[in-house]
Amino acid sequence: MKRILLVEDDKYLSDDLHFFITEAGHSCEVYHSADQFMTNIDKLGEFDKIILDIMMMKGKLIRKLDADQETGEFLYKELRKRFPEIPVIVLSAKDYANMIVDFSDESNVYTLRKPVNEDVLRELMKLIIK
Amino acid sequence: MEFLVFYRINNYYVYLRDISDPDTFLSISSSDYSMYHEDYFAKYKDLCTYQGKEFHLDFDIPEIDLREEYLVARSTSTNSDYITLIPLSELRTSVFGPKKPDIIALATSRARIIVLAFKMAQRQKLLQNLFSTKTDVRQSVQAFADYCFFQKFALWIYNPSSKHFCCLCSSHVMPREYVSQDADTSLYDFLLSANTHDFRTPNKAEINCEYAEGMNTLNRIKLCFGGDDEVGILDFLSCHLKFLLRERTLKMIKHHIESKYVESQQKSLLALHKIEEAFSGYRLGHLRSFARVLTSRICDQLSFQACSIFEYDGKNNTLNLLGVTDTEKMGKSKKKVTYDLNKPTFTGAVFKSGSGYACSYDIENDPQNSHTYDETTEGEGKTWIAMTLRSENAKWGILRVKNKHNPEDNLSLINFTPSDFFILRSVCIHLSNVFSLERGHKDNRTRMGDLEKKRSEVKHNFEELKTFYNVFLHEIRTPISTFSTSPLRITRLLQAPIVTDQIKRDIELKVNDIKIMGARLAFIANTYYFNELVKSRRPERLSVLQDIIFPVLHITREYVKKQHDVDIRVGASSLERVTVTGDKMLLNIVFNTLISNAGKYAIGSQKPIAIYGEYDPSSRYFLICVDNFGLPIYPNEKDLVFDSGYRGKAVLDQKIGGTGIGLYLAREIMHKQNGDLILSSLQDPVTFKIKVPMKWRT
Repeated sequence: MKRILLVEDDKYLSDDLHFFITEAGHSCEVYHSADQFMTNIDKLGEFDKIILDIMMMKGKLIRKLDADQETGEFLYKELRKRFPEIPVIVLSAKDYANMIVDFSDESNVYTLRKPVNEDVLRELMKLIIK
Repeated sequence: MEFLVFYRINNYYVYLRDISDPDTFLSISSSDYSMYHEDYFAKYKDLCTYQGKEFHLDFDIPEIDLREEYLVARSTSTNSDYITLIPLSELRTSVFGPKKPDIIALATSRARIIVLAFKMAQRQKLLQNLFSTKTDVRQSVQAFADYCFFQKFALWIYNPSSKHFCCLCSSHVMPREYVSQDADTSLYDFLLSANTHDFRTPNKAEINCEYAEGMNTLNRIKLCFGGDDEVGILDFLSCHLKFLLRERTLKMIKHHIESKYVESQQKSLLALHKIEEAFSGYRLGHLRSFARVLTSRICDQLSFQACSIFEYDGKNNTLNLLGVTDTEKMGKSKKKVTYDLNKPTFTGAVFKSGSGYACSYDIENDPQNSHTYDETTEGEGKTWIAMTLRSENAKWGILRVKNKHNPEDNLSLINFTPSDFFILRSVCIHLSNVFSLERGHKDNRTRMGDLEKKRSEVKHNFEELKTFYNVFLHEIRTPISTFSTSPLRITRLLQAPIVTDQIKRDIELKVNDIKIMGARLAFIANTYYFNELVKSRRPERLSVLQDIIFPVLHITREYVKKQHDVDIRVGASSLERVTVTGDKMLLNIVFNTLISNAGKYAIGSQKPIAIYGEYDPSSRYFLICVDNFGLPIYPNEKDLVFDSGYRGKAVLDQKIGGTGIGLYLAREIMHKQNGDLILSSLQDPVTFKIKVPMKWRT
């Protein structure tokens, strides 16, 4: 059983993903905002894997982001400063080639594309188990 | 000793003064010599005597003593034929003086020296005139005329293009320097005959046109210049009766003048080459400037006073001036000049005819003398050639030249030469090719323009598609994910060993989620294609609450509450029993946009979204108001928020996703509904008002 953190502001999607992850026998905590993530960032090492959405609101705790930087990219960098080894599954509708962080070059990172269909869901579940 | 020398030239004898220095002879003009027909001396045999009074001289020779008797001494050789008249008084010597035969020998010997000096002078004069570096055809003919003691000459060149004989050069001023219809009959007859030489008295027509006035003998030589149609006729005229050219002299003249003319034509080829050089500077798409350059070059090289190029406009059936050079301007005319081909004009007639060109040597007196446009020339326009510019299947325009001036003095006019026609024809062929290229270039440009237009359309459509894709991707990712995950979830739930009430409730919720997402997707699709919808939708009387607000809230309220954690409160009292006019679906789209935006931007707000209504002061409109207490709009953005693609600073700072076209489309829809979308408050709350007409006005 894995301890999964799902960082996703889309409540419809997070609701369904939470269902599938828990139905598969894992525990799943959901953060719906960047503020929640930043508030609990020091405790993130407790999780076995983190599913991270890229495009979400900045919130109040993040001071300023660069024009081209998405909130999820900032959160990823903050996570890596503290927990360089924790596996991250990045979930985004945005083209990865247009991101500032080159996730293909990062270790312990897996990327998936939204919208989440059956294939993406199956892949996600495999990565959780892996 | 006084004696007289008469030297034979052709069938005449010319009286030579006692001069032994050739240089002195050089200074004497041929018109200063007295000429006597051979018949006059025929009756006098060698060494016979006769009285001076028997001389019937055309004019006085002071040296002749009419009381004297003269001994005729004839000296005949291949190269020289001369008569020496020795006064008998010289021969009546004393016993102690020289003997008669010695005196005769001395006299004839002296005469021989005079003859030789004369001949040397004549030959020297001829050679100088013929072989000077600047000698042209006219000067060559003049040299021969002087040498052979002719008073007048004319060189005619047959122009196969115009079917006229043109006078290339003459010793006298020809009327307009071309042959009138009457006088040129003899030229045509001679041209068509097999004879190469004619000798006769000038006919009445020739005398009447002053060409042969005062002349008694016409020597006519046929010249061939190499080509089949290249012929000329050289006339030498003498005031003396039966003044006949010798065969040997005739041949010499013929060969030399033929060579000289051909040589002069080489210069024409140079002129052609210079004109053709202009074509190497031609660039596609610059026809007008090229036409100007070409007309200038033609005038310069061929000594025309004016040259113009007209382009055919098929649409209006006109010829339009493209470029002109004349004595006043070079290349360009300040005014627009057009020949209407529906009206009779000389130039128009040439364009329409099948012959391809026309030439006139007498524009002033020609019929159909209607020139819409006259190039400026020195004096009146006198001569004119127009040639059609044509390719195999098309006519492009006209090239026209006027008045060929004498390049030697730049004043007098001379006739067009056959080489002028030849060169102009060659130029017209090149120019026609240029027009053809221009047409192809224009067609290509049009096609390129069409292709470019298509490319822009395709690019625009592609950009639209991209925008559509981006917009939709952003807007539809939640619905699409829900369409995938929710059914899967329902399936999993149904696979439970026991379907509990909780599971049933979960399933109901999921089915509802799918319904909501389906409705949202429909709104998104309709918003984007409202332009098409507007064409098919029709306004109707609508209840604000029942038809506009509730159908949207039925779907969107739950979504906004779940997704953004904000509620919606409706001020029903301000909305009930209000009817407006518009299209239900379109107004639903607009209202849904405002509610969705309000939910998205209501972050951190504790207050619900408020919906209420009010009447516009004019009472012609009703305002459906939406208040949202979330992110503000900055004052400088007040007018920008409705621009397609614009996203507010507060929104961008928060990294809230979106495309910025929602408000733009919503306002477009309202404008097409004869209403409006207004931003009336920028923060706390941000208020948008949908202005809907109470009654529909067309």
